[in-house]
Amino acid sequence: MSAPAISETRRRVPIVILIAALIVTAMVICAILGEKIAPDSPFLQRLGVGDTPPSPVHVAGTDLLGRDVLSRVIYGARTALVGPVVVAAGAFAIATLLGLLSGYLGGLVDSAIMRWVDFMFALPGPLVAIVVVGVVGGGYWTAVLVLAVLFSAPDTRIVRSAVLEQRPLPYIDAARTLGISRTRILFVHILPNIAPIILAYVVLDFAFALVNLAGLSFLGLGVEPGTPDWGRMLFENRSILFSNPVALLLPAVMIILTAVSMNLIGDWLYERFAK
Amino acid sequence: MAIGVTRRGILVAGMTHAAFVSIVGTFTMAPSAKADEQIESITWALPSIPDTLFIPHAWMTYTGAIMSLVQEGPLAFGNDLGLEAALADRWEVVNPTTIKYHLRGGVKFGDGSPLTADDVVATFRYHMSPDSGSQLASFYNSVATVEASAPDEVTVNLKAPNVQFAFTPAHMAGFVFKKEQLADKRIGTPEVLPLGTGAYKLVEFVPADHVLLEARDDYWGPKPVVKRITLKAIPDRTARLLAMQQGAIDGTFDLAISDVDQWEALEKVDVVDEPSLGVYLLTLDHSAPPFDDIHVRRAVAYSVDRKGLVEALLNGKGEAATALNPPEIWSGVLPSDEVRAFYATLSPNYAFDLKMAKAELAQSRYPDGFDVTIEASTADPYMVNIMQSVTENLKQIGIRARVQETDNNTWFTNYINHDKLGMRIMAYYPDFADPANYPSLFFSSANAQKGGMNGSNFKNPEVDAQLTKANENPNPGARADALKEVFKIANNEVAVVPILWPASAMAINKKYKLSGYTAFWYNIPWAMRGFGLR
Amino acid sequence: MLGAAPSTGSTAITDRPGGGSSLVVFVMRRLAVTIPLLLMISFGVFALVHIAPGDPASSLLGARASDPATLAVVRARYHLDDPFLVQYGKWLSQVIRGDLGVSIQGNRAVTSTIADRLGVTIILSLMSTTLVLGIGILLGAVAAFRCGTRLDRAIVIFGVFGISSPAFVTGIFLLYVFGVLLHWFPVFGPGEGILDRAWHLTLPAFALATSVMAIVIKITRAAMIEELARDYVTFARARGLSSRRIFFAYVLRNSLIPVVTAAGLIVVGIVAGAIYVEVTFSLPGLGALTIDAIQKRDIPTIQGTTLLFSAFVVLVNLAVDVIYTLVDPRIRFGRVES
Repeated sequence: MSAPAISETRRRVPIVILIAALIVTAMVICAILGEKIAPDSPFLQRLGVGDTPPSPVHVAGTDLLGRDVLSRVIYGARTALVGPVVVAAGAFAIATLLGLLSGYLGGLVDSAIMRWVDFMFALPGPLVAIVVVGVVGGGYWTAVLVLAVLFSAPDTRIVRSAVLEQRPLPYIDAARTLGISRTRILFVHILPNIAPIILAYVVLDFAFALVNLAGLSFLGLGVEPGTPDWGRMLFENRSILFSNPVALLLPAVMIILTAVSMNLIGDWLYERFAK
Repeated sequence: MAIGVTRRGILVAGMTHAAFVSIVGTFTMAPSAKADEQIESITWALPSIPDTLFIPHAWMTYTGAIMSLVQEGPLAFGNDLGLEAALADRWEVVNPTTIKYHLRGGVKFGDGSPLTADDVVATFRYHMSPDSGSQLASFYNSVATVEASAPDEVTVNLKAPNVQFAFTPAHMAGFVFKKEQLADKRIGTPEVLPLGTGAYKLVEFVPADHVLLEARDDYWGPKPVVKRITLKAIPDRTARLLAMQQGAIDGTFDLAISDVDQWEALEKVDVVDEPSLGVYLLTLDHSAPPFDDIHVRRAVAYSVDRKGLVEALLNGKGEAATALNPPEIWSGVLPSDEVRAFYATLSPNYAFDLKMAKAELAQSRYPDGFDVTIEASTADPYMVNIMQSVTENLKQIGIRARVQETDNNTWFTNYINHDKLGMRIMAYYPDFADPANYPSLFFSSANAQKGGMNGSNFKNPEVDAQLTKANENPNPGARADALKEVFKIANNEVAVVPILWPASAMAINKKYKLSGYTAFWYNIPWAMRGFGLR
Repeated sequence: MLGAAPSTGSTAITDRPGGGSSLVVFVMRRLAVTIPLLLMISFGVFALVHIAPGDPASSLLGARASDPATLAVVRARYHLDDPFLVQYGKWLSQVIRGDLGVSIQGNRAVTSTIADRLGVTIILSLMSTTLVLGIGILLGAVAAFRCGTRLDRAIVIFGVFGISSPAFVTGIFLLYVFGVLLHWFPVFGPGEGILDRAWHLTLPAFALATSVMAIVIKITRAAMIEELARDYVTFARARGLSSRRIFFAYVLRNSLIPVVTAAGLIVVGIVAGAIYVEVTFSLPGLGALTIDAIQKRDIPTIQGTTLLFSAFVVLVNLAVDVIYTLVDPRIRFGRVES
């Protein structure tokens, strides 16, 4: 699928992407430094203060237990980012392996892997995640695992078709005549050539995993109560919508900003390198 | 009604509760509807609708709010929480261990069949039977036999005198079922809706979703004002508020006090709050590690910021609990200022102090802490927040505590089944206003088993002995002394960790009024107690 | 589900018939793929009882007090003492006969609980599908025609925002602004009667549509840009045909084919989104029932709704593939390249 909106700027990095990259960098800094840059401990309760609207001391106000919302949002970048990173990386580890095998070996291996991919493709992914996490329990990390497995199916298909594109190219033939082993061809020669497209999809997977994990937390199936997490904050702070709407809006904005940035970057990478 | 004397008789003879002797009102105190005051239908929201309407298996306030309109006990609570006549038009304490209930004539169940003494006997015996799994069995612990001594008379023989049993026929434990229905395993499901003698009958029940009630023409008492009542589950607090704002519901019980200012801001809505006489507490399983260690229990007790929770969650409408019983529930035996004075003498007082908590944990067998998971009901307005606060404090002293959110039914069933108790949070609202109610449920060794409320498995012979005194001796002074002993021991041993005594609040559309709203909304036919057009 | 991925494609492409095979053979082949798929899904759903922590009998009975007699009844009812595969066979034959078991909440047939809740979800899904297709195709077309302009960029960014905002976030936002602040829409309950219900479901349908619409915008826009660049459009223009005629007679029709192939993604998006939207707006639909059942560990109900949702997704995919072959003759003759 083409998206020529940004194709005219093939050589330069568009300003939108720069902004998106800046936002993502900011989130990553929040996730790494967390409590160090938060103005206050995200866990410290001030029961006597309770839920208050934004003030000079608490820029984003406080929640029902008097915890500083801004600090919780900053600290929440950690759960918001770590899960999706693991999902995207995990999905692509599986997908790269299966896709390379399937695309390069072909035959029985290929059709077995593609049957599996078709099956996963036919499932309503988010529903499967909700049901499995809900029934098995285990919260956040179960969700991460389930999403990684679910995402690996479409990713496998992408890696496979990229491999299929590479296989007939002359350099592969050359390598084969030189007597280089299959594994070496796969991982040393083909993989680097399809790395850019993989990167584009990893970024897109990340965005989608972020939205899905936040959704599970919103349904009470993700992180446990008390964890500073954007999805969880949306769910919990609904009851203080009137006294401190910022407690609800800020995590919502963070989810959307991060997901939009990653989606834009992913689309751009795809346009830039994968075509 | 002529039974006023009889009622007064039992109160004076059986239990001299200052608060109760003053009752004069009878059922007629609920003003009966004038012809022009008929209301076609109302929709009332509850935070949760039970899975089954069979009280012995779903003993919760939300079941009570529905079934108290459908079923009645031989006795009932008046607006001042005292006992008054209901299905029994009079009752008589023959001797301290024998009570006779004389049933009113002409009372019919919702299907038109007459109420007989056999139905009452079958109901009482159902709760008493160990096989029935009734969650209210403990209210019948003191009963030796129950017989139909005449077609319209039920005689109860107690094993020993028991002050509390007098209330049993009035609250959910006494709601009378039709004998034939009790034999049906499906009772409580939409297929077999429980019949009752109350002013309303069940027309439709979609478990966990809604219930439709219809006023009965053949009710023995005053004519119901509202013809149809729909009770709907709206678990989400914000959704309930929005529903009220939009006029989709006419009222609701059990508001979160922390939300009350938002409710009060709604134009067409009145908010009423009352002391609930309820209590929030933690139970700690004394029979298994790690809570068999007194130092661990004390560490937990010191880790609860009661005062802070009252401010954060109750906006000051409620009190930090220093003991299981809220002071007002002692009113029959001890004025509340004396109760407060007594509570102040309890030592240690477990005021929030993480240093003390750490010190206690260091002395225990688990100086490095341990893991514990506590279930909290999402239908309850405070539990999850209370537990978030408590677990955060526990983490600071090294106890790795986490909160597990569950629905109301799961939370309660897991508690009452006494399966892997560990640490649990309980919210309890009184069955009747007597100071022995809570201690008997939570501290007596008889209830430290499946089906009992003693979720701490707290067993202490001295406490049992004092409870027997408090239950058998009608003298208020003697009861007060016995209960004080119980509370001293319970406090020292950390039988439970009391947290809050919350107020209880309801909201109602300004079109209507509900003058008879009390803390007992789940035990009385609330729509029959002064509900009407404003 | 992977709406974010630029490349789309349903199973139709991989399962397309070999050169020149007839439509009947194609449909048969698709069915041959669908049936094992449904069996695998049913097996997964069946296995939920066994992967749930704890004893299967207790899982099926819920947390309620369970005496040995009741447990024995449940073991017999679900054939729990049989070997695993035999249990599955017996369970499946019950399911095929329309018996999804008895829910833990209220001891009721799962089918009747589902029947109670189905109406809201169907209307909500239909409304949002209409919005998704109507507005999505319109915006996609506008973006393609104004390709490279600010309007195009705005629409593309809107699409990215849609896919990046979870349905519950959009839902809370719409609820707060249009329901609570402006009072334009009702904010509670599903309404009674068709019109009232549609009125009540407007905000939820919009919340649901926004997150799914992005897929349609993206695909329509890309397909249409491609079509507009084709020679036949240039010829038609050169021959003096009106833009309107060109658009409706040729471009739109040809651009819709890729949208049809994305039907699988749209259906999955709607189904998953409906769960979140129903929870956000407290609507008594199947999605809310699923979440409620999960919170109550009501395994039979979870099995029922999951089976229904998944079967629905699979069958819609099948239907779309068949329709797709009917619409596009190139597929029928197997000449299309994926």
